[in-house]
Amino acid sequence: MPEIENMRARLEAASDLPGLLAAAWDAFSLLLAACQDSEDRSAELFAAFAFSAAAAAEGRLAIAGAPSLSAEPGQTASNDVSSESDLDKLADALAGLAGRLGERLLSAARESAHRGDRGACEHAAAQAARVSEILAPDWP
Amino acid sequence: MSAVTLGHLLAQGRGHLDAAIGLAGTPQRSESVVTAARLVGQLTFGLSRYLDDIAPYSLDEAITRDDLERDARATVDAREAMKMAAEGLRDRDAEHDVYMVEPPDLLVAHLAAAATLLTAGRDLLRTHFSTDPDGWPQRRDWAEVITSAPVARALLAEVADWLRQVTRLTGWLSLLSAPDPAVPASVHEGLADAYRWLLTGSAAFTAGQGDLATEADTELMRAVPVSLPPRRRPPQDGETVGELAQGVATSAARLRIVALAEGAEALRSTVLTAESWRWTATGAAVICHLSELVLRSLADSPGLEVGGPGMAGQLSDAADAAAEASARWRGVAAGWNLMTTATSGLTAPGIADTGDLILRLGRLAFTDPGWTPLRARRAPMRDVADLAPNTAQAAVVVGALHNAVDILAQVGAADLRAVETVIQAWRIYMPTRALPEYYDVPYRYGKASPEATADLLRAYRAACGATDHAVTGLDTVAVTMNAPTRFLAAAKAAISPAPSIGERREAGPLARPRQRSAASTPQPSVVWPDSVEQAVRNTGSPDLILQMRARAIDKLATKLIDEAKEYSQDDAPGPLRGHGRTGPLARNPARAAGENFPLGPRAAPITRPGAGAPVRSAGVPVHPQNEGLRRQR
Repeated sequence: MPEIENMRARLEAASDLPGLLAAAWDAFSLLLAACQDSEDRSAELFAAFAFSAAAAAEGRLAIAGAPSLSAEPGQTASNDVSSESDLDKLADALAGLAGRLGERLLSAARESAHRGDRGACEHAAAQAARVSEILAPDWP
Repeated sequence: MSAVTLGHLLAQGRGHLDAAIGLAGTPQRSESVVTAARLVGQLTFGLSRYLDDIAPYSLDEAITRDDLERDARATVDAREAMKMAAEGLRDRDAEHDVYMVEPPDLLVAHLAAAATLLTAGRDLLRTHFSTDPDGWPQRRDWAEVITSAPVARALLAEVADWLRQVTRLTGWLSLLSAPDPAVPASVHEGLADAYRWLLTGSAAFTAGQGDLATEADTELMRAVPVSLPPRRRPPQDGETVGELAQGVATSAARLRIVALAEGAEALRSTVLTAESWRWTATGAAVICHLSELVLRSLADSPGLEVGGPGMAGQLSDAADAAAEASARWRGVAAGWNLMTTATSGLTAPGIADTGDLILRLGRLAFTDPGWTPLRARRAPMRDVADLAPNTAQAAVVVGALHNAVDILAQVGAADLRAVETVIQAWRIYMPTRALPEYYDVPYRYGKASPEATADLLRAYRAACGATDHAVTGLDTVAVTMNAPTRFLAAAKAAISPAPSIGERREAGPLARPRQRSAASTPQPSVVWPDSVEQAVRNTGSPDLILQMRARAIDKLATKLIDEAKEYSQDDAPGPLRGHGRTGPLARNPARAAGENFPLGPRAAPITRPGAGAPVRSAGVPVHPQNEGLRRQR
């Protein structure tokens, strides 16, 4: 799943808030697309992917409210992760990405001087944590 | 515990009444007879109050209005006769009642319980017709069912049945009291008089009997629930199938009130957020998906004879419809992906109940008794042998799905209306970076593009349509399987636009007020007697109904004369001044709601003035502007 790995790498590499926010927007976009695409792949995981998608959509909108996010559209990265045939592996990877995204956003919220950025990062971090919680393989 | 229904209360009350009747022929203490007489008065009055709701016409109107049909008049006659019967029994001093004696007095205990339950039944009906602080009716979801022709027929039959028993009881008490010197003469006379009036009331019922109540009418009437939100029951781990179904019913009942309460639409459009709507749409998709899984599982189970030939096909069709609805709700959720509102948070009042619904449906579908949507709680599907080992349990399961999808359809429709309102008010936003490039917006969010909002509304309409279709499929399955929720289908049929008795009659010539021809105009040579009642008595007629009507005419005449005097003394005449129908009577919600009893046209929706829809109160068409004037008075 190179798309997810690349996204994690972008998140790790983001060194300033605008960069992190842009990466977060794209990460939420990836999570949203991957979850929506996966809903149909397992009856048992339909609800998990559906609610993860809802949380990812909300997280992305929260990021959009951050004053430090560039108004220009971000990078056009591929969000197609349907090539992964093992749904559990995919879910693990998405949960990992969401967990790391939440951590980075929470950390950014703590360090941010702008109230608008802080609020946006906190709200988005909560949504990322929610995605991670829903898709985690084990009971938290 | 299931929600209290009218059927529960009336059945229990009837059990006590029958038990009291079963004591007929046994000796009773004088004190018991005295107290029983008063309770019979209460029972009779209680029964007459049901008729107040069914036929909300005064005796004056029954006499003077020529657009009422025979059975409406008969119902009013029966009601007034019952009130006459009650009058002589209820007002008696209660200080000698024998409620608290030991051992308990069986006759009194049974009658007291019957009277209490009968009153509780009517109170239950009235929970659907509350009024706001201004006295305006607040109709809830069952209001239309209660005022439908089938339920009115069933209620009339129920009242007539109770009346027969009360009449028998009164006859027996009257006989008991006659030779007993310890029973005050006033009580004995009251009982004898009441017996006569009760017989008259029963006769009026019989004479005016219209269409008989069918078994389906009675079942629907008994299914009317109390319109108070039951307490929320958060899911517990390890609930049985029956408990899960019961929990689903509780959540559905709560959501029904949330979704359909008067003003809910305005509230939803004001306080709901995009996050709430997205979550609700997602929840709807999950509910439909889980329903599909269970329905398919039932349909594919060859060992389960759930309803005879064709049942599998019905289940399969319902499963297909649920799958389609799930896909449509996913479309709605996706429609919210890039749209937001000025505020965030899960603010929808029914979020917790929708969550409970999802958990319980999931626990019906999967083997984990503590299932949640978390991946960590993933579990395989339940085996049908475990979920529905017999037809009865399969019906319970179908009932749970039926309840869930039915309320989903109602919540979805409420959401659609609220979203339409929000879009019209331009209160939906999109991130600037997601807007088309030609949008030059110097903010982080801009107004959502008309194309995007139109797509969202299209998605909602498709989802609502698909959910309605799924409900129709489940209606059919529920009726075929005799599921506990089959009344939902019956309720819809009762208020469907198909011609009902009320409408049929409305369209008929009898419903139209007849034009008075010149030939029928009263001639001035008629000499009116001082008292109509006296004049009727002078004819020697033993007909109590005639005497009762005559008395009403006298009262009406007195009232008219008083009003005429008041009007003539008024210096500022106006079209509404002195109007006798502007008081509480005109605002009585039960009266307004009861207008579509088979005896009259179906009640139009009652709306607030200025809302644009026709305003109707107490059956009198009123222009909204004038109604505003009326309310200021």
